[in-house]
Amino acid sequence: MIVAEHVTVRIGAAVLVDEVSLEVKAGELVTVVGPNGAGKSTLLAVLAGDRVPTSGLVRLSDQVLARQTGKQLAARRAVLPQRAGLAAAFTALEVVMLGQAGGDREGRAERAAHRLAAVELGHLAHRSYPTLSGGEQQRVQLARVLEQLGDDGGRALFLDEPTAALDPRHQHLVLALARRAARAGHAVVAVLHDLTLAARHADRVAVMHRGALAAYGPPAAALAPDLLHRVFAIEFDLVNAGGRPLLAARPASPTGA
Amino acid sequence: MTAARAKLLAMPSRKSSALAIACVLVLAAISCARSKDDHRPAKGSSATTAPAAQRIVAIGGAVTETIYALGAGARVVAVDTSSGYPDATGALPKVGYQRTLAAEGILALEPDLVLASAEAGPPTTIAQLRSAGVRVELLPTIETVEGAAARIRSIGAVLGDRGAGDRLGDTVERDGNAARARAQAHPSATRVLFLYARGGGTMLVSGTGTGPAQMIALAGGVNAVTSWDGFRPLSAEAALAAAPDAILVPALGLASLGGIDGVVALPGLGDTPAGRARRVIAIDDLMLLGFGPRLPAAIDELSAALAGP
Amino acid sequence: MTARPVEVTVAPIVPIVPIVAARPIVAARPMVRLTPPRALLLLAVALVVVAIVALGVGAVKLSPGEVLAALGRRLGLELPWTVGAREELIVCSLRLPRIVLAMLVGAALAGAGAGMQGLVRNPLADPALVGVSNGAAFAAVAYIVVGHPLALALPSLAPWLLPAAAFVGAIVATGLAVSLARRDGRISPSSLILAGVGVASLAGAGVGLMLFVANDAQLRSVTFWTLGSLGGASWTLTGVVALPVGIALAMLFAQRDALDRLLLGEAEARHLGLEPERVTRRVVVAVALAVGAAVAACGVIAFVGLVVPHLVRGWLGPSHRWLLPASVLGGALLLVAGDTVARVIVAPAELPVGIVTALVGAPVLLVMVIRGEVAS
Repeated sequence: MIVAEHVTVRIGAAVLVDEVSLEVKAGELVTVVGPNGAGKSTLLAVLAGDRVPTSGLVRLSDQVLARQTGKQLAARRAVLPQRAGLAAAFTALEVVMLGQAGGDREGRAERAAHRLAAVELGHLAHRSYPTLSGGEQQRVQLARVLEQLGDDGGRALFLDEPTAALDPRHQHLVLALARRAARAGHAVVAVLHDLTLAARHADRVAVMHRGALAAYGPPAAALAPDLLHRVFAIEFDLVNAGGRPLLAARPASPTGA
Repeated sequence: MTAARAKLLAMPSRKSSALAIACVLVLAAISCARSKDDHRPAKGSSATTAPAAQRIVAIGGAVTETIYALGAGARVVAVDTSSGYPDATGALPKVGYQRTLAAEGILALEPDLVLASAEAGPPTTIAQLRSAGVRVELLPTIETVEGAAARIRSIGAVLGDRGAGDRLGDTVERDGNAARARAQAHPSATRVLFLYARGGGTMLVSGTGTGPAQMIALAGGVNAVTSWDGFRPLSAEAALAAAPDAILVPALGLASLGGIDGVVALPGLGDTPAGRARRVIAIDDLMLLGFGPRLPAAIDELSAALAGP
Repeated sequence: MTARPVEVTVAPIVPIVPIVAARPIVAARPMVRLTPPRALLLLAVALVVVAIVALGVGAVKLSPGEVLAALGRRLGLELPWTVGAREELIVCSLRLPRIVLAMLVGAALAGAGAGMQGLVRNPLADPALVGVSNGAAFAAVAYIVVGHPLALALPSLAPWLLPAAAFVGAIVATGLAVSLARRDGRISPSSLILAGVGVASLAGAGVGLMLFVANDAQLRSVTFWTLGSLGGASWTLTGVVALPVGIALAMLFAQRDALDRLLLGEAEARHLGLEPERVTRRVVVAVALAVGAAVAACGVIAFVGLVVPHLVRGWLGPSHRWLLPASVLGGALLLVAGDTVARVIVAPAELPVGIVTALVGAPVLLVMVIRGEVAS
């Protein structure tokens, strides 16, 4: 559903994204990982249509992104940014409702309330958004984005470091919701820092290194320790925890041994 | 989502629509029914056969002063803020500044005559007063002895007492001309700079063609400033170029400037002959600039001040 | 060194709470005691009540019966009480158009204030930030000081020249600010504010220049005009003002959902399909129309555009669905009440209504700052 063809993003002499081609199918959750500055967020921005690549193009459901209007894009994809500000004291419920497009008001409030319950914030529906913690705010934004996306499938969802401010329970909650969106028929792409989360929830993982795609495939294959060592410049232990992979970085000892 | 809440959310759109429509209908009805008050022609006329007005609102210091001088002061029910003479005006209600009058306020006084200088306004208020059937007479200020006399006569006519008006007018004209003749027989030829504080920190200096310039001429002085017409802000260079022997200020203005010290401290003035001699002449605002019944006395006072040390 | 898989037993992740039948527990929002629809109704009722009271209050003492009779006389109705032409004039030609004008101007200023605050995402924004008030002031003052030849040339239009000049000045200044703020077809809130402040300063300098060359009479007129007054109200003026104000408020109301989404930030608003430039254009045009008409009709009336939306936001929350209509009603209410005070407090003279709104608005603003209710 999402097809990137030879996407390159250059600013001056710096190459942020280097000839990346990939495809994300409907029903898939793809996570993008890589060290800082590898180009993950830039790539996500291009895939979401926020940024026009210097060369190459992106298609969403066979339509070239660059030719879509803002309204057309809004109907086809939703984006959860790393940090969404809000300059007003809306309630959590009202924030979620901002993602809705239409329909009668009563039904909308009800759907928004359900969505909040899905992110385990139902009890805070009428709390003022600025009074929520960073993690709670992030989840409210996710609820809003999921509202925009809808449950019918056939759209794309982009998440930029959605787990940054969350505690472990909610980190997994968010990714479980992302996977649920994928199962509903959407194509989901999430930039993550945490390799274990990426490995656990993704159907496929894209590993980025200096703007290029170093690996793209199922977690077991893409997150091979050798590759990770090369990309992240640190060694990883792959731990098998009850059938699920757990990647633990092994820093060099302070004495250099 | 309960049924009650749903009803609540649906309710306001119906109720507020109904309210809005009701308001619009009421306003539309009133608008349609409006009379042509906005365009009714002025009712105030100068018919001298009208009965003498008993409740007069006087606008403009000199106009008020003239009414009192003609003996009709008891019939004045209110004045504007510039009417400070005679003292009896102090006890009267004030209808505001002459250029920004309020129609309803004046109507509340139930006047049968509004006698005003030509500066009275705004025009909408004058029109509204006339629409209400109140006689409004506007009298221009002509800054000459003859003009002052003419206005006194007009006021007398409007008040229904032509005789008194003509007598006072003639007196003022005669005494005014006499005062002028005396002053100009032995002109002091003092170079005078007229200054007033306009407000907002700006000092204005009179050039030619103004009331103060006319007073200076009547009093046998010489206007030190002839390079422009009307009023201009004070500048040090202009003051030095004018080189006045005396500085003339309205009395209230002197107080606001901080007395003679304040005046000579103004830019440039301290170095003029007037400034060095600290020769600052202050005369009552209304008497000096009003061109009213006290004009002859004003000419005398000013010419005496100019002739003196 | 290669990693070796280590067998570790880890407890399974706690499953997600099923969404199905869970009803969210509703915690009441502390600051709202009334639901917004009820609050709107309350405001509307209060407005009608204040307007009725204002109709009966003034320098001339009239009983309620006389007021009704005066209305009846104008409408041609037969009523038990009778009054003369003077009472009819006072009620129907002086007070009533003035009250309606106050409602229109108050609604225009407060609505424009709410729109501006939403557009630039700053609750301290004021329509004056786009230069509209100063532009109108400059044009009006320029007319007062140097426009006399024009009045002589067009005597039949003379009473309309000042409002027309002010309106044109408002539109031109706003247009200038917008075109200066545009970069690559985009107008960000900060560039709009900067350009608006620049244009306002330029216009202010122009006003200063005009004041410098003004004579005493002109200065008085200017001072009076800049303090704002509804004293020139007539049915014709009210009718002429109603059109741009009505259009402007309709335009603002149409943008209410867009303004809500804009509060998420421009990037997020774009993600939701909004075109911020389009919204900016429409809101700025509406603000120019509303404030331009208001200032043209009665001079500069301060604080209404800043304080009313701010108070309403604290009471009803930031959603423009309620903020806009409540601000409109609140502004109308404030100005009708303020003008009534202005008419009676120093009778038979009148205060410029701008003084009353400043005397009310400034302390309210200060109280809000002290109580920390002013969001950054």
